[in-house]
Formats: sequence, structure tokens, C-alpha cells
Amino acid sequence: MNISANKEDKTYVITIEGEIDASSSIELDTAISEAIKKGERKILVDCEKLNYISSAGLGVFMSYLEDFEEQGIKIALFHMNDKVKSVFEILGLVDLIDIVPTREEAEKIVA
Amino acid sequence: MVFNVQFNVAVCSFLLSTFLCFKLYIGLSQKNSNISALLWDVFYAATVAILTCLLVKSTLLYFLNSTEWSLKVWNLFEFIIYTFFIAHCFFSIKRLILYQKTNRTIILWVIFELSVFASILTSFFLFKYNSLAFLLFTLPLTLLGSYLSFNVKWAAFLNFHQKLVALMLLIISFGIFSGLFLDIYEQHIISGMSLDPINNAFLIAISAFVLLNISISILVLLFSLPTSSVFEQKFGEVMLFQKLHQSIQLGETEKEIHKALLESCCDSALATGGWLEMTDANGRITSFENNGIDHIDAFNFKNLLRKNHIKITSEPQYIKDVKALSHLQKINTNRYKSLLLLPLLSGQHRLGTLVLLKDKVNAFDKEMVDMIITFMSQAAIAIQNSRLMGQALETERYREELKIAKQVQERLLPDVPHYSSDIEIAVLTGGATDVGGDYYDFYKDKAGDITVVLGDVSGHGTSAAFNMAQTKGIFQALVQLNLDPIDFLRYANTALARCFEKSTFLTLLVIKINPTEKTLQIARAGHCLPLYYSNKQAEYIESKGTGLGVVRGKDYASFIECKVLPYHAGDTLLLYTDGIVEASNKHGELFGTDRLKNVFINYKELKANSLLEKIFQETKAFSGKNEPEDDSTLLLLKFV
Repeated sequence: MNISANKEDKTYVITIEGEIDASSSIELDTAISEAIKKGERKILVDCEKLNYISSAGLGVFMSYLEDFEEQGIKIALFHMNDKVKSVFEILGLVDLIDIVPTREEAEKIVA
Repeated sequence: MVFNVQFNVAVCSFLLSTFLCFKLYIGLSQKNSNISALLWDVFYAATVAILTCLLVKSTLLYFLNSTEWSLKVWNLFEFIIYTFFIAHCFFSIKRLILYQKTNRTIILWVIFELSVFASILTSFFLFKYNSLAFLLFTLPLTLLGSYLSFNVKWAAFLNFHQKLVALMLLIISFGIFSGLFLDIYEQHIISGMSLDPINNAFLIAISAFVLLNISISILVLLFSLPTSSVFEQKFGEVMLFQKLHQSIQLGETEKEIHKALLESCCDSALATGGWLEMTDANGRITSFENNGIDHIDAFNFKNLLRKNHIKITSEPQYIKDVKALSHLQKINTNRYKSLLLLPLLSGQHRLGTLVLLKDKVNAFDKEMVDMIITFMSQAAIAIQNSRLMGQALETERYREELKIAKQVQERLLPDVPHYSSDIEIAVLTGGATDVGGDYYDFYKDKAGDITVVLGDVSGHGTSAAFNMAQTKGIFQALVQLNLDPIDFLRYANTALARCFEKSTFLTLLVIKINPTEKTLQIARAGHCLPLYYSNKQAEYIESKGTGLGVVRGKDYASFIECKVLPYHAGDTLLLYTDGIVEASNKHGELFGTDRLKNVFINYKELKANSLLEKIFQETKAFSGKNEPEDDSTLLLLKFV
């Protein structure tokens, strides 16, 4: 699993590649907490190459929901494939995190 | 010289018995096994001999005025004392020569001793010292004696100080011996002694041997003084080896092994300073140990090596002159002139790196480097052992934890109840060998309503089992309050949000059955969609819902929808956890909801338990694995 983060023009983009299981979920946790520490307010997550996410990975996203809301951070996930999206849907996370098909829509959401 | 058979016999028996006595005396004496003690013994013997001689001589001469009688007494006395002294020396030397026994040495010695003793009998024959017979007898004996005398191996076992002491003792003993011998020789020249040691071939032989031996010992000790420091160093290294070996027994931490290794290598190489760096499989530094050099200097040296493109390979690298490198700005080249770089290897795998520095150019010699490499390989073995032990203990501990957690968990899952003949309930779990988070429970309230829940706590291992336990507690408490599913879930969510860790959540299906009105209330808190079979159709029931513990602080109830359905005889509701649909085959395909639906339809006529078994079999056949990876639970509600 590979996670990279880039500060772009107005947004902070985290790119996830591969599978997030119990062990790699720690890296995801680190990536998000670093973004928050740096004071990023507009976070985009590129899920194009994300193949699978386990409950541990989902838990990481969820654990930050409150923080995002408290600190006014806007986050949007984009380019997610159907398989992974259905996991988010079944869990009912689509109402809590914005998941959109394209990057443009994601940028609009966090703007 | 008196040539008298009886006299000769007396002399011979005296000599023989004296020598035999000393042989036994020195042979039995335990204290003689110590080299220094042996040498002191010789010294004492010599001192005693000379003092006694001087005492007796002065007494006789002073008091008895050199009469012939007194001279004869003196002669006899001196003969006896000399014999004692020579016998003592002879057997002490024997012990020294045989200090490190080899078979050859022992055999040669025995031959020598017997031959020398045989020479006692020569006093019965009259021969000249320069006759052929004499030569034939003495030459081989001399050669043998000389060969044996060069067996001065015992000298190597003394340290410098002990050698000096030994030297002093032997020189003094040599002096005393010479004094005694010269005195006897004088008398031999001046007056014909009746008891003349010089005319006794045996005593001459022994005297010559003792003289030769002491001289050779003195020379060897003298010439080995300069090299004794090397021997001491070698012994020192063996001691260090032992120390290193002891300190890397099982039970020592790795850190202690590092310290011991670094110390041994620095001592052995007489290094000014050095450091040992341990790295993990990814090349990250896990530990750093330094000796004689501080962190900053070590860091500067590391940079120096890097700037000079010196990489760590599996071979030792040696920089004979640090000044030959570039970028020396931060390096103290007065203190550190040569550098040795060694990898700590375990098979092909590099565990770490050792760097040693010395304050002389070209200061590491081959023997030193070989010695250090030996230390390193021993330490590598010990470190590997220590790690394996650690891993084994951890695995064992973990297995024990899991065992207990699994036992606890099994007790938390209830037996399948039989509430009424109209409702058939079946459950089948196929947990992974790991402790899982699948949870189900049942409750029938006073009104006859039946609540069935099936859920899945995120995660694995012991924490999942404990979270499951908390969930059960909350369920058992709330279910008594006769709440509708949405309220139930709302309270459950609040409670779990406080019990669970931030990233833990629970998916749950709550089914409330009203047997009187034959209705089902279904609330789906983020769990997999239940499959409902009715009217010859199998469909997944969709409803809005979010997992428990996800929404904290907001109004959770707004995220849940409760579906109400009537049920009829013959209807079946299949609940399951994600281990079933997420079973994957080697192509990465998931079993999926469609396959589940198909299997269900194909086998729906089977009895409840058989149907669940069949579904399980199908998932196993699909994935090709015997044990499911994730928790898999099937719960069937059949309305009769």
C-alpha cells in the first residue's frame, strides 16, 4: 500500500494506492493526522488506485469525522471504484463523507 | 679413588635410594603442579644446600681445625648434600619438561631416565673419560638429554612479571649450583676424595643435565621477554572470548550483547574508539552503541564515509589512512588515523555495522581483524538467537491471549433458542482461527415479541472479542426496554460511542418479530443487506443505515430507517456477515451477494441447518481455502 500527499494550489491531495488492511491502516492514520497538523483545511483523497479497504481502514476515516467537523476541515473522496464505494454505502458512510466521481466535483465541495 | 666393590655397592644403593625418594617425593607433591612453585622449590633447595654447606664447612674448619677426619666428614657431607640437591633439581626439571605432556615426550623421558639410572652401574667398571666405550654411552644420552631440555614450553605460560621472577630464581640457583660444583671440583683437584662426585659418571651426567637445563631455561626466558606481551595479548583475547560468550547467554538483552561485542572488539583491536550500529531489514537504524568516541564525532565520520562514497558491503573495509579521504573538515585526524569498517552478518542478512578507529596509520593487522570477525560472527549468532527467542515468546504469549479471548467469546454467544414452533432459527459460524467480532443474540419479551440481532465488530483479535462483550452487555440491557428498533439503535449508538475506541464501529441488523401480527421490523445499522425469500422470490432488503459508533454527537436516529414487512408461512430471512460475501478466490473475485442469492435459491428446500452448511461449503469451494479469512456467520429465520 502506498500513500502520498501533495500540497497543491488550494488543496491538499492524499493519494492512496493498493489495499488498506489492518497494518497499512496505520499509514493512512498518519497521513491524515499529518494533514491536520499542517493545518490543511481542504483535503482531497484520490481513490483511483484504491482496491480494497478493510474495517480498520474505514475506522480510520471515521475516527477523524468529528475532528473534521470541529476544525471546519472539508474532505472529499473521488475516483472511487464501485467495489470500494459499495462498502462505504453499506456502512452508511456516504452520508457522512463526501464521495464523488470526479476531481472537479471534489474540488467544488472543499472549496 | 677407591675401587672397592662393597664401597661401590654402598654408594650405588645410596644414590639409587636418594633418587627414588626424591622421585616419589616430588611426584606426589601436589603443589609442584604450579610452575612458579616448582621454580621456587628449586631455589629453596639450592639455598638450603648452600647454607647448610657453608654452615657445616665453617663449623668443621673452625672448630675441628682441618684435620683429616674433619675433611673426610666434610667430604661425605658435601657428597650427600650435593646428591640431594641434584636429585631435587632433576625431578623438578622433569616436572617442568613434562608440563605439557605429549606421548613422544613421555616415552623419550622414560628412556632417558632409565639410561641415566643405568649409568649408576658404570662405577663398577673402570674406564677413562675419553675412551670409546664412554663416548658411545654418553653421546646418545647427551643428545637425548639436550632434546628434552629444549622442551621449555612451560615458559610460554608465564606472564612478563612471572618470567622476570623465574629468571631471577634460576640465575641464583645456577650461581649456587656453580658454587657447589666448583667447590667440589677444587677438592677433586686438591685432594683425592673418597667420595668424589666428579668420578661418578652418574652424578656427572645428572649434573650436566641440570646445568644444561637451567642454562637453556634462562636463555629462553630472557629471549621470550620481548614477545611475552604478544602471548599475554592472545590469552587476553581468549579471556575476552569467554567473557563475550558468557555475556551472550540466553536471557541477555540484545542491547547487552551489543555492548559486550563493542567492548571486546575495541579491547582486542586496542582501538581508540568505535561504534556499533544496528539496522533493521529496511536499513533504518534501530540501535547505536559507542565506545571511546562521542555521538557527534561518530556522526561526522558517517558523513565522511558517505561523502567519500564508501558503502557498507559484506566484506570488511579498511582505510589505512584517514587523511587520504576528502571532506575532512570536521574530523579530528590527530586522534583518528585509521578506520576499520565491518558488517555484522547473519548469513546473507546484515544486522548492523561496526566501525573501529585507531590513532595510528595502518594500525589494523590481519590477526586483529580475524579476531574481530570471529567475535562478530559469535555475536551475530547470539543476536539471532535472542531475536528468535523473543519472537517465539511473543507468539506463544499471543496464542495464549487468543485462546483465552476465544474462550470468553464462545461463552458470550448464546445457544440457538427455540421460541415457538412457527419460527425456526439456525445459526452457523465459521470463524477464522483468529478471534473474531461476529455477534448474535436473541430475546423474547413478555409480550412474545422476539428480537434477533446479528452484528460484526470491526477488527480482529482480542480487542474485537472485548468489544463484542461490551456490545452484548448493551444489547441485553436495552432489549428489556421494549424499544422499537430505531430507538434501540439510537441508545445503543450513544452507549457504544462512549465505550468504543475512536476508530471502532459495529455493524448490526436488528430484527423484531411480532408473531401475533406476523410482522417483521428490520433496522440495518450499516450491516450487510439481509436476504428475504417470499413468494418464490429472493430479494435483498435495502434500507438506509449507518454503522454504530460512526456517528458520535449527532442525531444518529436520522441515519437509520426501519422497514416493516409482513411475513407468511414459508418465508425465510437470511442474515450473514461480510466474511461470507467477501470470500475471495485466487483471481481476487469475491463470492458476492449474487452468488449467495443463487446458492440460497438452489438449496432453499433443505432443512435450516443443512441449508446453512451448504452455503458454507459453497463459499469454501469458491475460495479454495479451508478456513475463511474473515468471520463468517449465517443466521437463518424460517417462518413455518
